[in-house]
Amino acid sequence: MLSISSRFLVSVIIAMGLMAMQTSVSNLFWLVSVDMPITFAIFISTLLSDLIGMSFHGEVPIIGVVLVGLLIAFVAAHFAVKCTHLERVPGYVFAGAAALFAIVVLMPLAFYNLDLIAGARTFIGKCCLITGGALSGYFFAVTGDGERAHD
Amino acid sequence: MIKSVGLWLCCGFMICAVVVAAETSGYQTNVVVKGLDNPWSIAFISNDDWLVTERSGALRRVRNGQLDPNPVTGIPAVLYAGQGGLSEIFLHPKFDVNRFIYLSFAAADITDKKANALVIVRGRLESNELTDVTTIFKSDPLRKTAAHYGARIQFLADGTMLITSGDGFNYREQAQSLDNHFGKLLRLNDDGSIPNDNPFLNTPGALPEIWSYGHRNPQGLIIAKDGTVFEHEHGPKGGDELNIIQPGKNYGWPAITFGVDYSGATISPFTKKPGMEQPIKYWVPSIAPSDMVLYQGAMFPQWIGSLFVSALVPGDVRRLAMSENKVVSEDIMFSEFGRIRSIAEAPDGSLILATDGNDGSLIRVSSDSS
Repeated sequence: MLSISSRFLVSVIIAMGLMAMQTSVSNLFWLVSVDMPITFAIFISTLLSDLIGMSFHGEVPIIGVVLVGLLIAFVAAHFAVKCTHLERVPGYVFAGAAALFAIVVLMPLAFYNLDLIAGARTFIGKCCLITGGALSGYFFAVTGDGERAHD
Repeated sequence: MIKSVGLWLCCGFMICAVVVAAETSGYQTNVVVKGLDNPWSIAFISNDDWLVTERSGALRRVRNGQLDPNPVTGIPAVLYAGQGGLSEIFLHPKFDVNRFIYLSFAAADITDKKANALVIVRGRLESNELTDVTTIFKSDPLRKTAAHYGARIQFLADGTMLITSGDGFNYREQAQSLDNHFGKLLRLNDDGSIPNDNPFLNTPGALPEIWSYGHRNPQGLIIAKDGTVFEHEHGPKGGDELNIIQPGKNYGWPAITFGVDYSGATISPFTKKPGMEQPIKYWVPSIAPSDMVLYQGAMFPQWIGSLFVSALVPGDVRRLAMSENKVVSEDIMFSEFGRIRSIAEAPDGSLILATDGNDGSLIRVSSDSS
């Protein structure tokens, strides 16, 4: 059984990885559409550089934003599961999705609608990123199923 | 003996250093006006009568070095949000005869209040009032963001005007399409009509006012006496560019770029492609170039032909010595004033700097013998 901090960090990496992947893919798809020569090697190197770049080299390191967002959401989910009849898995799935919703939908409202995450500029892009948050919540919930016994 | 020779050599070097420093500076700076609210652009009616835009929406007048407490009246309502607001002021080449001035600004749409556009108006400056105000350009389509307007204006020698229109931040890919105004330089007649020799006039699906495309946020535009059009634009995180603009050309954004996204993500792994123009200079990391003049004045003969690029980050002016339209050297100047929003050459050849922010100043750079 993974420790809670390890599970949380893996959840953050899942959300971050999916975010970087979605951003890379949406950018590269557009570049292909304007006849830029995207090879498989460029595709892979862009995925890797985006994962590192978005995590650590942005104006605001997005991994920090994701980490704080998921931390708040999962703490809230923990108490919601504990204090109500909310099921554990849907609770954390919803929490992860809500965290990413706040990052990709609500945060731009504070910046005059500027989508700082390029992959979030379309409705489909926003949905993908929110789904990534839900998946990270799912991972966190299912890998800690034994915890309920200790609650 | 060796000691005294060494001492004389040291003294000699010190004297040389002082002389060189005096010769290379040769200017003085003094604050002319303080307390401007985000000054953005400066125009000169005469050496003693200046017009300055404040991004919050006022057009101010500086007469004989004194700020007129009464702003020019008749200025249209602007959207003052984000990077938006009242931006450029430019005098018609025949201003002395027709009194026409041009203003660019962000304006909320009348029907969709959440959307806005870059708007250019022409009006007649009578005394301290703008009259006969006519909208000659409104960017299309509307944008939801309040960023990347471009908004510079210059007149070509043939009497037509160039306008820079930014990519609106969220709409960067549209800079590569010719059916919209995002990321374009546009050419209009002085009344807003479209010249009949624009490069895309006969291109199906293209807007006829487009002059060049593939730009990000062009905030520097200057036209040399020989007709060369210099433009600079903000890059993303790195990749600010200085370009020479030719009609009908594609400047590449965002298919090619020397910068990465603010998020740290790749925008494009490419920096060049056949059919897309290269900058004559680019900056990594970014300097956030905000305005530009091509110095032609008599006050500083040693600077004639240099481009002066004002920069917001970290805040200075770059003097680019040019030779045959190539940058041969770059000097960093005036870094003591912080973020510089605008730079202009006054009729007497002095340089006027506008500092950025809600307590902006106008600083005059003049010869220390003047």
